[in-house]
Amino acid sequence: MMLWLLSTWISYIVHAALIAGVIGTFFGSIVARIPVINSYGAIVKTVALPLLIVAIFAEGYLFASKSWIEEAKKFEDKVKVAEQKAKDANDKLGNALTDKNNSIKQQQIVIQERIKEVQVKINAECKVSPDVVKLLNDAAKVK
Amino acid sequence: MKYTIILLPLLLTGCFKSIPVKMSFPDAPTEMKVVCPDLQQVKENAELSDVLEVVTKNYAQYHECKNKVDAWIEWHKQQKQISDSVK
Repeated sequence: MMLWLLSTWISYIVHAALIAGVIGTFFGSIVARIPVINSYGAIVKTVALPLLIVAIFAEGYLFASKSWIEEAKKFEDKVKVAEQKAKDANDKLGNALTDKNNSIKQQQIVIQERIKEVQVKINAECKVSPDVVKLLNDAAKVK
Repeated sequence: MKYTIILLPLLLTGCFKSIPVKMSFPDAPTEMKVVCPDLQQVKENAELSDVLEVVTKNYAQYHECKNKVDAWIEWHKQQKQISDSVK
C-alpha cells in the first residue's frame, strides 16, 4: 500500500490535484463575484475545495510516508543486525553448553570405569542396609 | 473557507504514523531447551557399587543441569543487551 502510494505517478497526481485545487478555489472565488458568470464560479469552487482538502491530506500522507519508510528502513536494518547478533550469541552459547556437557559425560565414563575397577573390593568390605537405599531414594524424590 | 480552516487539523492526521517493524523473539539453542531429568533411584538390594554408580550419575546430572541454568542466565543477559541496543 505504502509503496503503491509512493509510486511516482501517484505523487504526480497528488501534486496536480493540489495545484488544481488551489487554482480552482482561488479563481472560483473570484469568478463567483462577477455577476454574469458567478454561477460557474460557484461550481468551480464546489469542485475545487474538496479537491484541495483531499490533496492537502494526500500530500501530508505522502510526505509522512516517505520519512516513515526511511525511518522504518533504518529500524529494519538495526533489527536485522540485532537478529544476526542474537543468532551468533545463541550458536556460541549452544556450542559452549555442548562442550561442557560432553566433558561431564567423559568424566562420568571415567568415574564409572573406576567404580567397576573397585566394585568387588568395596562390595566385599561394606554391605548396604536397605534403610540407606530407602533414605537415598526418598531424598532423590520430588514431593 | 472557514470550514477549510476547521478541517486543516484533521488533514494533519495524514502525517501521523507508527513504525510496525518488530524484532522477532530470539530462539534459544536447542541444547538449552531440554528438560532436566529426574534424579535416578537406587534399586532395592543394591550393593555399594550400585549406590555409588547412581550417586555419581546424579552428580553428573546436576552438573549438566547447572550448566543449563547458567546458560539460560547468560542467554537472557546477552539477549537483553542485544534487544536494548535496537531501541
